[in-house]
Amino acid sequence: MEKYYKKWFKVLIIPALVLFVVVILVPFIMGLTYSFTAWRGSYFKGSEHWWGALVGITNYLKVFRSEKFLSALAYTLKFTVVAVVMKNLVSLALALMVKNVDKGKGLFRTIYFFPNLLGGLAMGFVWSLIFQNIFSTVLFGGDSPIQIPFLCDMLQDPNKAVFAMAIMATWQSAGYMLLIYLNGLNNISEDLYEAAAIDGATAWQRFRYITLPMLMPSFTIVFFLTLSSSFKVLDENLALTNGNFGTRMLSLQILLSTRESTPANYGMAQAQAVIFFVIIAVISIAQVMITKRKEIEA
Amino acid sequence: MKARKVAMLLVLGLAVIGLSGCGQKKKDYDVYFFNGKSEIAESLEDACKTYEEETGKKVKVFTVGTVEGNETLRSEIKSKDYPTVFATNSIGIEEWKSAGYALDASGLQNADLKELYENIPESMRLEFEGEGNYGVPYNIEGYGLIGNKELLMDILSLDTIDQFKADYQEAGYEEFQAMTEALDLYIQSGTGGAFTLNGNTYTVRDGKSDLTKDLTGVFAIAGAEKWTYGNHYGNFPISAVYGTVYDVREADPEKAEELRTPIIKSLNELEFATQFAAGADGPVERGPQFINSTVTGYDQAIQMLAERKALFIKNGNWIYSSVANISEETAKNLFMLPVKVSLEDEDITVDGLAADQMNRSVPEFVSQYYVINAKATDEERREAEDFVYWLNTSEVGMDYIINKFAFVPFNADENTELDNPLSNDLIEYKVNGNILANPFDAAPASWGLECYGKYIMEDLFTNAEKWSEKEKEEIADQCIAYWKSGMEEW
Amino acid sequence: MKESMSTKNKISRIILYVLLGLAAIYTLFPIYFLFANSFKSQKEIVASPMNLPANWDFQYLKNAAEQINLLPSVTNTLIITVVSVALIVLVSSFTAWLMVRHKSKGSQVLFLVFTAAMLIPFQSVMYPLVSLMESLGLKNTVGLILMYGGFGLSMTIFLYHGFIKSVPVSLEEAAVIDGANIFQVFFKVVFPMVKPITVTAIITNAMWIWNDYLLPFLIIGNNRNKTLTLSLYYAKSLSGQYGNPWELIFPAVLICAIPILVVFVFLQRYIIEGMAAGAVKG
Repeated sequence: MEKYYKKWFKVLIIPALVLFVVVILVPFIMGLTYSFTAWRGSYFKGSEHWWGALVGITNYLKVFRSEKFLSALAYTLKFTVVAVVMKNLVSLALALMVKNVDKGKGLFRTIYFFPNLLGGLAMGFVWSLIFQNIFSTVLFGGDSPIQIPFLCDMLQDPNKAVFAMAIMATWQSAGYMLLIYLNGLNNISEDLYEAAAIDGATAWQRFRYITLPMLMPSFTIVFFLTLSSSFKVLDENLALTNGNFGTRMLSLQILLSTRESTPANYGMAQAQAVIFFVIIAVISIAQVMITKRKEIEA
Repeated sequence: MKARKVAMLLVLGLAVIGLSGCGQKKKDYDVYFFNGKSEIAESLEDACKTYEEETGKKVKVFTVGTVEGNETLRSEIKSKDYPTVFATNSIGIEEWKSAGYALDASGLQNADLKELYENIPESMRLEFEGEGNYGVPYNIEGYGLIGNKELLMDILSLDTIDQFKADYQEAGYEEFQAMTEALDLYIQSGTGGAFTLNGNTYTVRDGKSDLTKDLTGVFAIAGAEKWTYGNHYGNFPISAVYGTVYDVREADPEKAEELRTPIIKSLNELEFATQFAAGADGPVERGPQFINSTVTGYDQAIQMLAERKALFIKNGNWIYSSVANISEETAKNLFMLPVKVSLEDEDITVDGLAADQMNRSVPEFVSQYYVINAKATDEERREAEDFVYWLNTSEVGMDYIINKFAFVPFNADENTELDNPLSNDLIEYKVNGNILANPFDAAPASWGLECYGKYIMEDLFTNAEKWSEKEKEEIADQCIAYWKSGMEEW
Repeated sequence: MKESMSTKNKISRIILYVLLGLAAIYTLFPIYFLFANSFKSQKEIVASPMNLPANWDFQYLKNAAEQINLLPSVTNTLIITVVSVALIVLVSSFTAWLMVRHKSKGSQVLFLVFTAAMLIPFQSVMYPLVSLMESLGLKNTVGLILMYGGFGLSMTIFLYHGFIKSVPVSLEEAAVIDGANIFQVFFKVVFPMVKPITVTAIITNAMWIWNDYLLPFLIIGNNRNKTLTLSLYYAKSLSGQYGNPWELIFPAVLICAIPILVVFVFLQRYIIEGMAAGAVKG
């Protein structure tokens, strides 16, 4: 059989290879190269071809000196921290609750998962009315009996907007993370809990010394998934605030970068995109390494 | 079995799409015009139909909005179906010239068109780095303080507006303030008063009339529409330091420091003016409402002017048709005044420009140019050139430009008479030499929208309190820093 | 002792249900909100957003459907999604299988390369990719499908790779002996056995392609063949230049969400199980 597979392998992986090379590999290398040139989209400044327009690390230097890039980066970090914490807490809490009920597990799971299927851009528009109108005038401000200034006009203040976006992001992805946690919870043997209960452990102690440690693999997955997806957020950012009031995140910054420089400085935009890749890659590699180490331990 | 069915579907799907894409081998048009001005889209299509009836040549038009306009043009021009004539302005020309798409006058085949290019006054030419002649201006536009003369004549008991207009042009900033306050007093309480312009006294009558009873404020301010103040108002401090678009591009980064005082003074001016803002039901105060697009959006501001709820609006000659759609009478009574600035002579660093000249001038500029695609084939270029020539010189073409597009043609002189009174005013200012340029267009990294306008919208317009000196200085510092760092992106 | 234990349990049980119920209401609220406001006028939406509409006015839905060119948009999105997903699933599963079966240094390196590409965020290749596609004449729907094909490869190959190991080689051997060609071996023997992963792959890919905004925005932009999300975006920007046209946005979003709702209601069991299965692999 070996020979059989060997014979076909070389020919039949061609479609995948072609797609991969054309769509991912070549653009990636092009992007890397162009980030070191004075690329302007439809031309290269100073030369007919890219090799005549090399500018070394100038683009990168400019990017690191660019206020817009740095504040987008800082803001994205702020958002990521809040979003990761919120998503993890909420999905874990929901998972624990769902696990401990008898009836309706399936129904609850289904309901919480549903938002995951809806488009970020589309629902972002809906949520922007919720924040602008419902939160601000109906529920927590205006004439309402409950007054919580923090929850009003959330989209017009950068600090509040972090929470607004995190709230929406949690609404969207909690259901998916919930499934991962549920999986992890279901893998913890009931015997462990029974033994602990017999020994007189309280619910909190059972949680702390059995549930938490055994959930670590799931937690690792969820943590890194939420980490990288929060970092890459675009659709929700675009729909909720469009980057106004200092709420522009990195993905939006890269997208708008070519629109705001005249003539459009694609070289600089691409340098930002490469830095973006490095950050995401570091996060993902860290995830793989830590998960592998945990697997070996387990 | 299922998998095979899916595979077949897949092949079929790709085939369908591939075939549909292969359909357009032959071009069914002679000219492809990529238009950058969305307000004339419909009339332009009509003009092209007329051209086809006259000459048998078909013109395909594609109109974009300004937001993604450049990106769309960028990819269209690289495709198989590229535009043979497109629109760009004095900022975009760098890209198109550098990429080789802008045809210079010297390369034109149509000798008459070449003569047209050469007759364009130097100040209006589309040049790159001071050289070349790459396009034909679409039109001239201008903006300033637009007022309703019918209401003013009523309030000030005047028979004609001419003296007022002449005095206003010579008046200083303090006189402008006194006038605003007197008018506001009248609007809010019907009380009379007086003010001077250029030393001459104008009396505000007591009591409202039918015409003036709906007034809620002196100015209709589109607080939610960032570009009206970020770009157009920002043009004034910029004009004090940089005379033209080219001055901006060629200047030393350090020259941006000279913007400090003009910026702060412009913020003072905005602080003053926004205390007298009109609203749909009553005056609008600074605060979250001030930038709410359902209260102070562009359409709302125009509506306030048209419905006589405001006396003035800072806007451009293009609003004429929008106002006319709501009220023909108001539209007929519009006239254009210069925007008053509080700058002193020493704040202005442009050679030969003094404060009083700024105060009697109105910014006018060419908004877009028709540019022939240098990379098109000889035949395509010839067709495009013939179309551009027809549009800009034939009777029918000029009729479209002047009457249907409601443009001020770039070669207007004192004999040109248009339907739009604002356009006629613009011609008058031009003929008298009282015009400023639009250097804001060249401001780095969308300074007007992303920096100056942003701070105004987010920090100042939402603040009902008096704006502190410290805050204004900080904003000026930020604006200058942003300007300098934006220059690096060139 | 026993009685107080069970009352304690009962109370905690009730509390749990209440909390879960509240969370469910919170989760579903935006959808109710979306639904209720799709039948109201702009004024009514702004004035009383939380209430059910005074009259169930269908004109807003009709208007929204027109503004977003409902039929062409849905058709485009459907074609793009279906063809892309089919492409991804077929190519990935087939390629993953070949890589698993032919254990060589080459195939291991290849697998590493495919998986490593999951690290590359789309933003980092979007500008050069669009530029490349332009010069290849593929800045259109066909190109879009090919691009989705390329982007979906990495993750889907990864999904299949682990699973295929569980298919016994002996079955394939038997098929070969019976005279089957390689395609038949794959499609008749292997493919049916990896159905769970196929379901996961289809759902995951279909979801992001259907809702995707960025890639269609860059490739199709403001041209005639927009996808549903793109049409929504442009309809909003066009009428929303001077304010938020809620009476257009809500029905438009509802229309975009309805296909998903329908699919979900009918296939929710498969979807959730598929996602859960995929979740294990992370």
